[in-house]
Amino acid sequence: MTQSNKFSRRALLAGIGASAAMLPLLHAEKATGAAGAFPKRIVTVTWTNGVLADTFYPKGADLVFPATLTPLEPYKAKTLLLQGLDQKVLLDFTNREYDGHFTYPTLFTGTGENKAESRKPMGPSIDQVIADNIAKTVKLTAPSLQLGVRSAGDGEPTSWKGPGQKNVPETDPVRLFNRLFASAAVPAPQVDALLARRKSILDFLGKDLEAFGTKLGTEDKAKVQAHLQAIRDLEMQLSGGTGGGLSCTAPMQPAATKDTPTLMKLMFEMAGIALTCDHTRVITIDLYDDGGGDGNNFPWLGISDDYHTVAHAGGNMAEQKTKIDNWIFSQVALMLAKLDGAKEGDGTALDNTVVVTANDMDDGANHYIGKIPFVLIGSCGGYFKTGRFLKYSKVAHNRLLVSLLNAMDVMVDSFGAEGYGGALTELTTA
Amino acid sequence: MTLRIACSVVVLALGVGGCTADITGQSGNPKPGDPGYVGPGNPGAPGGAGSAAVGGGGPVVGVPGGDPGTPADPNAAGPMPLRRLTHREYNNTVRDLLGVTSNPADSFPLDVDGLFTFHRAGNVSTLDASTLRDAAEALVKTLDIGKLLPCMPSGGEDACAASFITAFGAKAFRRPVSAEESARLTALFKTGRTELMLDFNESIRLLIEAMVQSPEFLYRWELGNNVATLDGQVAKLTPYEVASRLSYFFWRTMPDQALFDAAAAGSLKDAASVTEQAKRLLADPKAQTTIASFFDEWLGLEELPERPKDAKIYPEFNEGLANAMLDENRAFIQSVLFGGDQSFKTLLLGTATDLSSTVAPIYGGQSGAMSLDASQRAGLLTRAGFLTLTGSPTGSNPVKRGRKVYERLLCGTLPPPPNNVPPTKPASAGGTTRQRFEEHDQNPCAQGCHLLMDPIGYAFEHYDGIGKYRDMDNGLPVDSTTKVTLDGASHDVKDAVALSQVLAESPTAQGCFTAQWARFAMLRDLTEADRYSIQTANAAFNQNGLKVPDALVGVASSRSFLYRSLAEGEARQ
Repeated sequence: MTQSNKFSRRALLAGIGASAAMLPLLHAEKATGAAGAFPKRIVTVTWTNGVLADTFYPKGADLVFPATLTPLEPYKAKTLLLQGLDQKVLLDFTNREYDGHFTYPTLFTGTGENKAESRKPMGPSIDQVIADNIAKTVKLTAPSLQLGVRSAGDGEPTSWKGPGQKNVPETDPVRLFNRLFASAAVPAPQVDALLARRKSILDFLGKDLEAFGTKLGTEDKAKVQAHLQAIRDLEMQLSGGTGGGLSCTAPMQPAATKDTPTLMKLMFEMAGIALTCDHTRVITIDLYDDGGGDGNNFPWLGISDDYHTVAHAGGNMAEQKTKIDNWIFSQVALMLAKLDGAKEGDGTALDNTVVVTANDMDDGANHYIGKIPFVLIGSCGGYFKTGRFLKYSKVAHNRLLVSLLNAMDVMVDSFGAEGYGGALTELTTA
Repeated sequence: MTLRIACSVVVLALGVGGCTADITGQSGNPKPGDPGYVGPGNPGAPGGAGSAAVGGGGPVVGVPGGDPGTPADPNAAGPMPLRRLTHREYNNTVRDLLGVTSNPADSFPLDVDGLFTFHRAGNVSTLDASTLRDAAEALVKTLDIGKLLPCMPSGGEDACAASFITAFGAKAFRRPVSAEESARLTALFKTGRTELMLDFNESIRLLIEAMVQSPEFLYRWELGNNVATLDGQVAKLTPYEVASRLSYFFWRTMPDQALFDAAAAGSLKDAASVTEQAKRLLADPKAQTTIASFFDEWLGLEELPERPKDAKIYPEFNEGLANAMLDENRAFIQSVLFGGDQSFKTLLLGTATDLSSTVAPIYGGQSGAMSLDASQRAGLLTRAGFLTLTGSPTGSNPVKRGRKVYERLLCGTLPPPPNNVPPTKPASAGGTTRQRFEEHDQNPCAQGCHLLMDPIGYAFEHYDGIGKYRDMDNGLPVDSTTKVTLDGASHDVKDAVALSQVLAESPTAQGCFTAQWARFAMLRDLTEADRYSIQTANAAFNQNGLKVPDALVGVASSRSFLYRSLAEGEARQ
């Protein structure tokens, strides 16, 4: 089963058997392969509680990986480690005075928060802008995917369709698998009937939502508009969209789990496969809540303290913090291995991807947001000049967002709040 | 909820002692006249000296801004933002509308709206829309359509479909269906019968599938597509809106037939008829479930089973014990409110319990019905549930405990934390928990906020991370004495039992309790326009010895519950 869109019959039957409601609506004959060229992709991985600079950044000018980043060792030549990019937009454009927590809504939108309603960004995140741009030319199974491995806590996501319109991350591996992989190999009459039924209901809901919002106040109208947009997205999904024709091996059907290591592994592996199958080209992955992920500890690493407490202890719990973050990067590396294992021309899928890891703050002990630890792995089709360690000082992280957009062929010269300037030219010039 | 080591950047009116919490002083954030600091998880600043009482109520707490010297405007009412059914409300509503008891929303994606204390659904994202669709598809499959029909299709399909839309629609939308809505639903029915080639019953099933995904069902907006009726500067809610407000407040579900009948009869237009209905709803077992959820969410107790504890220090702690703690807590609340004296003071001071063998070791070992040692325990804050929730994985945690009391029981707002807060030392550095936290508090940067939280938290030092009583901490004697400034007076408090006594008598704590019920009822933060409503509700609460149901009925019959301010951009008459 290594050919595009020939998914296992067993998976199909499992999908229908479990519940027809879960049946993904894929029509094999709608597959459109981009002949020749390999797609570019972007994945963001965001976690919380900052890093310990001593175990994260090299001491000198060269790219070496201290204890936290050792899982990236096999990909060193493909890595760009950035120090010193600043989420200053959060202080410049927001009513908050200082706080490293709760910055997920700002990280990839480059906007401050809505002053009336905290923790709602003022614009879309880069993944949505990129996905919209890709959707102009190719219909993928999922224009973008938002994944999460997080507790039922207090966090907001990193992916936003627009001001106040969040994309809730998928945390259920079974639902994710069903959406992406448990697909029909042939168009069954059952699929067509379900498609037609869903279309009728979506038509109704679209009209109903349009009427429902007319008399409401501005803020409430925006909520209804977001809902309507979600219904439009479902309509888009109905009208097809498949893998882009790349060869890949579908993963095993996962079992439902609440075990964090199992879930983390599943999500990263499925993300990697979804990319190599070209089911999507844009993924955001949120790990733990940006409130600090209270309620998470790491018994499988021998760490029983709460993650947030560990981070706050700073140097006093350096060993634990480093161990946790190292483990998180080892999970990211599971996805990197899937990508780097998929040959694409002379290189690998990882070479056509940029994986960006980000955190909501610099240092977990003091909640500083002036130096966000960004790591880029993969050159995004040769766009980034990798294998380097670059230091910045007080440079707005908005400029990295511009670079990432440009790498993914969205040719803008600024992003998010105004006044922060354009792409970081150092990233693309060796 | 999250512990944020927080620190003030404003000058605070603090007492001279190193461990004094001033709770009634204005924190300076928000400034008077500001629309209010919308801080994460915070209900707003303490009401300060805004104590213009109505009929013996205490100070107005939990309402930001405003000049305490100015009387509250009796004609004002707060806003009513569009709210979607929460997971719990969805489950309950499909149960009462369709008889589906499978709690489909339990498997919905995480649903949070900012850091509001109580469950509140966010906007519908694409993933939400697809799970709502999957749930609708699954639940209609289980329905016996014949039982839901008010007529026989053999007597005329179109007429039967029309009467179904009218009758069922009025329940699903919680008010009569408009002609426009009826036309859209009829069109969908016809699409089912013709294009989709479904039979009559399947086409009805299609209608239900659509209706439970419709905004009229999912959003709490029973005004429909009409403009509000103005009464002065504010909108007066329609009887159907009031019926739903009542049922979602007390039951977290749709109105029952009696409420629908009252709305149809044009009742529910005044505080007296609403009070009567509120009392009826409170007497129903469904209210007990809702009230239990208030306490779980107010104190954050539902997070208890997910609290990590160090297995080396607390080997006995597991999910079973956590759930036993929750059960003990819920049973205590239940016994006070539905069988006891219903008093707020008893919630904070009561010692009666019935310990399961699982939770008994936390209290000394003996199980069964008993009265806890009154020198060690008094009410909710000294029970295993609260103490375990707010303990750290390795021990006690004065910050978490103090913060929870400060924010949730006293409606205090903490300013956001600043840069460069130094970490607290670990236990291995020596000293009691308190000594290590006190050192941290001496840091001028950390002082601001920690002096609001930690002195309250020190009162709890006799309890370890899972709520066991202790006299020694890290080999040294426990010191739980502290000084708390509350309601304009300084209280020397020797421990959490004494603190609970101070809180039980505190007008600020009582007023905050009323405010929390109002936030729970309306699922929003309070504004200056709510000041009068909170005053009247608090007066009702105070009228007869702080009986908790009086606070709920007081909220339900208040101005802000029956009226609302108009939203910016809203269509007007």
